[in-house]
Amino acid sequence: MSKLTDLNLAQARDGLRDKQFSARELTQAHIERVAAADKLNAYVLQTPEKALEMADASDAKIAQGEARPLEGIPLGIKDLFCTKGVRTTACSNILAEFTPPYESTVTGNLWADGAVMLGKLNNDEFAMGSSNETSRFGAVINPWRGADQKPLVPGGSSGGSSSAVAARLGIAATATDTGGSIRQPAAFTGTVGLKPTYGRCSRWGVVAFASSLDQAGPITQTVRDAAIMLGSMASYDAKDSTSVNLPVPNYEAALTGDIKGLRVGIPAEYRVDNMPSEIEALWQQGIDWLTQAGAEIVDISLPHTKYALPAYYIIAPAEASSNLARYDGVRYGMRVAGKDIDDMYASTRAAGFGDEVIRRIMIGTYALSAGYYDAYYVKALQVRRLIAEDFTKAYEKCDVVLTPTTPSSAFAIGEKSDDPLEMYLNDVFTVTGNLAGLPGISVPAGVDAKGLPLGLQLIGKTFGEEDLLRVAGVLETAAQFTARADDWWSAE
Amino acid sequence: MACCTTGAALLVSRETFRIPPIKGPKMSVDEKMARRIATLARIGVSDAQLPALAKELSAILGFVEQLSELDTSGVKPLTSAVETTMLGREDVINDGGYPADVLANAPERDDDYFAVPKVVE
Repeated sequence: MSKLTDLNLAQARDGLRDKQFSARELTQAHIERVAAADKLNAYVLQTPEKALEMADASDAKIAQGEARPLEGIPLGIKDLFCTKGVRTTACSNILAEFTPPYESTVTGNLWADGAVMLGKLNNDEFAMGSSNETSRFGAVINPWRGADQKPLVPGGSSGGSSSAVAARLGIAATATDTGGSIRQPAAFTGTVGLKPTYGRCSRWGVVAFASSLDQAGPITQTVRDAAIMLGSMASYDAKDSTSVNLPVPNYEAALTGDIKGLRVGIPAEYRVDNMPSEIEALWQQGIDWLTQAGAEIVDISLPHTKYALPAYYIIAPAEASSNLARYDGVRYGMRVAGKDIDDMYASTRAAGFGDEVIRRIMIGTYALSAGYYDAYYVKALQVRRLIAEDFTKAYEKCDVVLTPTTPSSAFAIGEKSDDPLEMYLNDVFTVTGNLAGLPGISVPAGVDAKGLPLGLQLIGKTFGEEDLLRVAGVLETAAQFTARADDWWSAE
Repeated sequence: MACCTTGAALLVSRETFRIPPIKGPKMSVDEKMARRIATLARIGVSDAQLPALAKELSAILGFVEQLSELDTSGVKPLTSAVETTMLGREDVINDGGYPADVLANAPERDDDYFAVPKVVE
């Protein structure tokens, strides 16, 4: 393995500034590693020429002493982010060879800060899934595997992002989170996944799934890297009326390691039935680590937790059915001819959308239709308020909440793909954060009996990313999670 | 442009499509209802697909059914998690004027227009 692909973001940034290596060398090393990792199926499009061009521009900036925050850092970009002149599909057939004539605000921010694009990363179709098995480009494989060597899912929907960062096919990656799609894949791959507060990052140019829940964030190797990435991704954007006009703090400066007196809430309702004892034990370990670091542990109650998933599975499909109405075969993407225009719409959508997307559009259409709107959609929005209020009350007693990220470690490819409901349960600990709009982060904290990574989740207050990252940094230091997946995938 | 006739129409459908109201969310989806939803969502579904689809949708609706246990009377629906005030902006044209970009991904075009099958007899 080339040494340059072992670096995390902070190390690579410092090495570039000290001229220990060039951006071109760093990028070239990653391009080669990506090209040899087809077995993981993490990238759906590689852009090596563009990457080298960007790297050369970064070398020029560094030579002039004008290095920007992410100068020369090679990243993978989830295929949900529109990239100007580079095919963007949300991993759906319905977008065919769609090539945006514009750049998403988040990726535009990254390029303006000097980052380099290695290519586009696989995800569940329209970000609908928890295993990255619904992509038109096929399933992504987790670099981690157990003793039986069965291929495992990398989580989803940002499975290309998590697999790529875990396998060092990019120093960091962009991702998006609607119900857990950053944090759950991070937990499954031993990486750090940060979902910021709703409104912290612009959604402009990000293919929409459920607009009141979607939020972009990074998947990285370390908590410090997540802080650096968020500092560049976050911005107020007049083009997204829900983005928030607050200054972007120096998140890296928040990593002081000092959490003395900080109150950490432990929600009773997150002790779910059938939770593996290893996860229970890891959670207790997390509590002990934070106690030893001087935090105060507080028991809290989030009484409506069990209603979060059912509410989510009305709200998210309802918004999806509205958002995905735009894919009609008229302006972009796939078109299937029909006997009249209605038939063209129906044939195009039947051919272009996969099974899970069709299921969710139909559930959403039903929940929004006359006669059912109040019973399903309005009801779910009322429950959403109760869930958000649970957190408001809890945050009178604590500053952050500590929970497991997922109810299990990574499962096998195909294990849950026949049962949508079983798949939905993956998000049981993460979905509350989306409904309440709160920031959350998953930190790799240990391995289970199979040797597979497990994550701990911290949930913060609205725009409380600095506290969140500070506590996450302490967890990371205590956990000393340095394990890496054995490289079985490289074609060398 | 077909902007207003396509896809899974939102509130428009409440006036446009007359689905008989039901007493509560107890009813699961039968094949007739699955067909109706597919029509509303503008997704072509064959008769052979209907039984499986009805079963899947019923299972998901059965799962979300537990929300009815909660008394939510008087609770204001939450549509946005982070309180924001919508800001007005200047009523000026500050974007546009590049039809070639707008049409670059069109499946079919005619001059500077998207082309669709004939909709008016």
